[in-house]
Amino acid sequence: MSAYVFHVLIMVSIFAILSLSLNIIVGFAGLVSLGHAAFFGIGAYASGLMMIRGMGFVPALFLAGLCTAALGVALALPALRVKDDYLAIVTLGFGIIVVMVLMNLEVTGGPDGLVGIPPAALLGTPLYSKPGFLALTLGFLLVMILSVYALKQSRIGRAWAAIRDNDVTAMFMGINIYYYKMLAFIVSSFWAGLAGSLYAHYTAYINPQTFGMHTSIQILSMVVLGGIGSITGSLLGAALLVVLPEILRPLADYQDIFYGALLVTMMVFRPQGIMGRVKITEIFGKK
Amino acid sequence: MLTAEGITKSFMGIHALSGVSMQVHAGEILGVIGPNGAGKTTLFNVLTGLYAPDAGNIFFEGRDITNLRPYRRVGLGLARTFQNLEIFRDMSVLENVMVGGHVRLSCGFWQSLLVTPGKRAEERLLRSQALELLALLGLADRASAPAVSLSYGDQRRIEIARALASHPAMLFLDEPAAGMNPRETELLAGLIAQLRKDLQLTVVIIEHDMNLIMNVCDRIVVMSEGRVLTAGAPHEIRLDARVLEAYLGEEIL
Ligand SMILES: Nc1ncnc2c1ncn2[C@@H]1O[C@H](COP(=O)(O)OP(=O)(O)OP(=O)(O)O)[C@@H](O)[C@H]1O
Ligand SMILES: [Mg+2]
Repeated sequence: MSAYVFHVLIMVSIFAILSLSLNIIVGFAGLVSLGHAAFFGIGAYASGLMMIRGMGFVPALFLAGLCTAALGVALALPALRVKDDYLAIVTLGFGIIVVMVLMNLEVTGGPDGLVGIPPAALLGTPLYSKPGFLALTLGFLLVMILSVYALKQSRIGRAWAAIRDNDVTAMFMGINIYYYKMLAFIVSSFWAGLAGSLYAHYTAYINPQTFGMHTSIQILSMVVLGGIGSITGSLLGAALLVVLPEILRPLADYQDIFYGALLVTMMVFRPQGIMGRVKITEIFGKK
Repeated sequence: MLTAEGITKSFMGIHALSGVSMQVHAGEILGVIGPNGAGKTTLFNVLTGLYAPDAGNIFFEGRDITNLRPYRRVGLGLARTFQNLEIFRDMSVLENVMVGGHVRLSCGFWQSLLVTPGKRAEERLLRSQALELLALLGLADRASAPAVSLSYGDQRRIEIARALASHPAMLFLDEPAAGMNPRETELLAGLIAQLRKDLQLTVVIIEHDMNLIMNVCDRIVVMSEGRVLTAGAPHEIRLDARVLEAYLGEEIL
């Protein structure tokens, strides 16, 4: 296999982690989030900055996940106090603010971004080869799939499903809806941060634009296309929306048209996504 | 067991409840009746925590629960059903009932994540108890059906099974017989009496079906225009002139 194929597969697995993580918020707990790429960016910058300052890859990776989760809490604390309608605006604003901050801080390198991020390394051996890095990202993806599946099949997953269905009724099942919504944000942002870290050490160079609105919409599209609430759907959505633009590269000028048409077609003919049961309108049109 | 004192609640100028005081005694089946708009559902909503009252206090087993969040009240043993069916629409019948058992499980984040043996045992127990409840409500053969595919009467029974799954001490039923035919209503009356006997459950029931109310209730609270009109045993209520007047024009008794 050529290096190019490995590159595409690595991007697929990183975006699969991202779409699956967003699916925890949107699909499991039924909340709206429009700034998910910000978590991706925070993880990438946190990890990059720590490694540039000499920290090892593994601790930097997990610390990046934890830092991102901490910011997830910081966002969710006020956001979950407002009604769900406003969550769209709050998360959108959060996404914009994070990019602005990354653009304007000196430590983050401003608009130029961070360069010279050291590669991932395991047991002191740097992972320069693409197959090696692919194995690493697939390993994380696998652990994530198992853990997300375990949560989905538990009391926690049931509480999320109840909240998604009707959060007022969920309260009368003895569910602390505030706690479970918060938990969705924490778990989701942790994994998004980890994806950011993997991405930063893969590309060795990051800049703020990567983590803006465009990427947030892209991740959300993966969730919606694959099917809200479906684990296989998120994986499929990520694979399709990473691979298709690559295939359509010769038609780059028309790529966005195709992409938009695909989503509109899905919304009309299969609003629950390829694998899902829940319709997008049930999340975004919720009273 | 439960005492409400001077509960007042208004919505943008509408006085839904004006100084309602009432008591629920342990082990009784208490009926709450009154014409449409009397404030019965609002009273349930305040007692179970959906709304904080504008004034007044609620005590449950001696403890002031006036400002306790709904989920905490469920933990204390209050469970309810809804007048406008509120089943979880994306779930099966069994899943609905299992959600009701949420407060009885102790598994937190890490046990769930790591699928510990304790977590699995807890889930198995929950599932078998949920199936038992469905059998009790006569829905055993519909356990895996999507909850929305069931008739209104059956959905009311899902809500009862779901409420029972939390092992409540006190159960609030808001018009449980609405949408049921006479035969189903009769079965429901038998079930409510049986639940009280077998589970030592205290039941508060809002219902417009006077046969059901008169047959199963030990005591009845009559509400009208946001106030308690009177309270007493069924035979007293039946003959009370004020009750007949409140229902003026409606032939119910
Ligand atoms: N959330 C709310 N917002 C505004 N008004 C409300 C609300 N809940 C209840 N009300 C009003 O309070 C009054 C009492 O309503 P409630 O539902 O408690 O009556 P009810 O006795 O349960 O009647 P029914 O027998 O028709 O169910 C009504 O005038 C109703 O419109
Ligand atoms: Mg009512």
